Amino acid sequence: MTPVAAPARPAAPAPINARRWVRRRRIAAEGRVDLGAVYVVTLTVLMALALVGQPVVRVVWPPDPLGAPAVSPFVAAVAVLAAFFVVLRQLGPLSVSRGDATWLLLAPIPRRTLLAPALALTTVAALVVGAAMGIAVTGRVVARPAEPLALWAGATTGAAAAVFVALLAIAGQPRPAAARLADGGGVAVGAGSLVVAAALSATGGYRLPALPIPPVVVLATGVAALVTGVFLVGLTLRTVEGWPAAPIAEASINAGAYADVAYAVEPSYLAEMSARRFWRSRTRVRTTRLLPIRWLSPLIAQDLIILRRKAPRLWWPVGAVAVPVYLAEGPVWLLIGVVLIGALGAAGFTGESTHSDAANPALLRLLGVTGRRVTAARLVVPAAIGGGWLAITLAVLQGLGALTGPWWALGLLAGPAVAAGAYQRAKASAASLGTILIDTPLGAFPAGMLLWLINGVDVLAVLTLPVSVGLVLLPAPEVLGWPWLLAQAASSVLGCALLVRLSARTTGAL
Amino acid sequence: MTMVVDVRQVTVRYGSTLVLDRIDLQVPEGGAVALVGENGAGKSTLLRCVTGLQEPTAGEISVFAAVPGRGAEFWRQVATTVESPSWYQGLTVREHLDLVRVVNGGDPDDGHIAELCVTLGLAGLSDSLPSTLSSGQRQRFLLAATLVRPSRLLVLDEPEQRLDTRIKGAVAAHLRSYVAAGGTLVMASHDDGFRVGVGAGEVVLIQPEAE
Repeated sequence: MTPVAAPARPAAPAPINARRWVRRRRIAAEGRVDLGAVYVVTLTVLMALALVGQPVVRVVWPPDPLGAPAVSPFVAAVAVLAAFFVVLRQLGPLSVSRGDATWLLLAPIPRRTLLAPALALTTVAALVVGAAMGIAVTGRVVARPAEPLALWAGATTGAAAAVFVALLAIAGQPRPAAARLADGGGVAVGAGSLVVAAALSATGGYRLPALPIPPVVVLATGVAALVTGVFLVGLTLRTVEGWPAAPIAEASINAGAYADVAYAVEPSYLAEMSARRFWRSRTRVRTTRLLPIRWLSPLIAQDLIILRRKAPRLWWPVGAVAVPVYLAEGPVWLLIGVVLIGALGAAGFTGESTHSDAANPALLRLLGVTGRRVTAARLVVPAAIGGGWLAITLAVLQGLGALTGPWWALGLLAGPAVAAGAYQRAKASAASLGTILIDTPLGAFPAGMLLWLINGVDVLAVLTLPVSVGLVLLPAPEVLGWPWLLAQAASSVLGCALLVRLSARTTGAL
Repeated sequence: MTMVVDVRQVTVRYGSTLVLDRIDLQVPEGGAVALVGENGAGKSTLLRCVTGLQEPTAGEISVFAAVPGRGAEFWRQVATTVESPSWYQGLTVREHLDLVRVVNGGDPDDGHIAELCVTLGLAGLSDSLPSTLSSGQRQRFLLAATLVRPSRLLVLDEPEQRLDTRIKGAVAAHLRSYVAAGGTLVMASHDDGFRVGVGAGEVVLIQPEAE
């Protein structure tokens, strides 16, 4: 027998060289700077500046302070931090590119060198978001002209708070069970602060007494907290060495998918990915006995099962009821938009099955049902959710004195119209809506996403005209009359009937 | 004798590649046929044509005396595994089987589903969500969903794939009793023992010569 030589003990790898080697190869193959990427980034920045630059500046630093300092800006800041936490958790926050995840993550290379760029990016994002938030809060509580010291105090304190939120998100990454709880907490805090802010704005707000702390003290505290935060970020870089590979790999897959969404301008991937993640995290699902019930249509029973299982996600639609309350005294077109889009979002709660059937109708063929039957059944539960959401929202506006009359009934009757819009929306993906390029002065832009954004909203806008026109023409003390209810009922019935009629009479299509 | 499946002179080309060359196949009601042949012989392509999921380049196909794949009536009679569905992410394995059986007018509590789950080794997976199944379990799940619904024609693409010997025998016995009860079966298979177990006649497909 030939003796087999024991494998030589591998020499300790030179860690930093691996990344540098990959980078050099890439530069050799593709050149140093990808001009296409530069073009896309410049185009995006220019378009963003042109579209939202001015309004963003006004939001961060309003020209006039809003009277005496109030609690509301601080509550809004908590909501922003909660949203920042949720976004960071969705992205990882520490991830690497897909190529690095495949080749370098499992190689004997220190995690520190791999994850340092992601950590730096997260910290910079936290600093920017936090500072902007701090300045925005300062802009609402400080009298004009504001002294620069107050501005700095706001910026540093905000940045420190955001860095601690980022640290919390990073700490959760290698601890999935604890992180799931923290995710729930983040969503609850976000939705809760929206509700609190709505209640504050409805009751006229709670005024703060004159600011008792001098800005210098705030600035000193903020700087101390920021230095501690950044120091802790540095310490985190040491602990990543002991992390398991799974949370980094998973974050990299997610971040890669988000990049695909941005690159292919196909936002419906996002919904699919979020649904996949949600269902993967459900570990205690038990089979229900709803489907065999004879008097209940099985396809409606299916939506009820999904609704029951997605109950932990009901936080968002419930919190969103508070949003129109802010806008009760704002421009009416904004109120209409928020009310209808909120209802559409709530009605789309069980839309995954429709989206999946539209993408791959094999299961419909196995079920042997016609598109019309599927459409008719899939409108029922969304109509109830959308109608319920609208009824509650309009009743709350009524409670605040913005509306008078049977508005809750109008909301209920608009439910089927909202369901028709949500169904239309669930059926389509941006890719299926076409790849026509729209020429803009700054370059071509695929129309699929624009069409996707308005898809379903168009149907909704037409079918809920009585609600929108009513909101414009009948602010309190005008009273909503019964003819409005009749008009909405007729529009809802007509919309649903048309949608069912236009659905496929065959099996295997919607 | 009435022919359930009637394929006449069917030719399929993918670009310049000839996959099926003037194939004839007749299967009477209550008949069972297994398409055999090496990889690339066109077995799956012929099955897709029979279900109407693919148009042949030339030739005629009729199933239940009509063009296949059109209308709800066709899919009420024909169950197939030639395409893999994307399962509803929020429903468990058992709920999918209940849904398929109820929507097709069957009774989910008559013991049929429970019996099939035991036969296919799915009994312990009733509460699982489809995304958590392995590829082998998914294959058995698709087979179960196809078999729990009432049908008159089964079109199965290598149903024995990834099954262990015990389950393979049980599936063969199940298909044999389906045919004995008057159902018609057209399948592709690589396993001669399984084909004999089902009692299906052999139709050999040969990869056409390059022109």
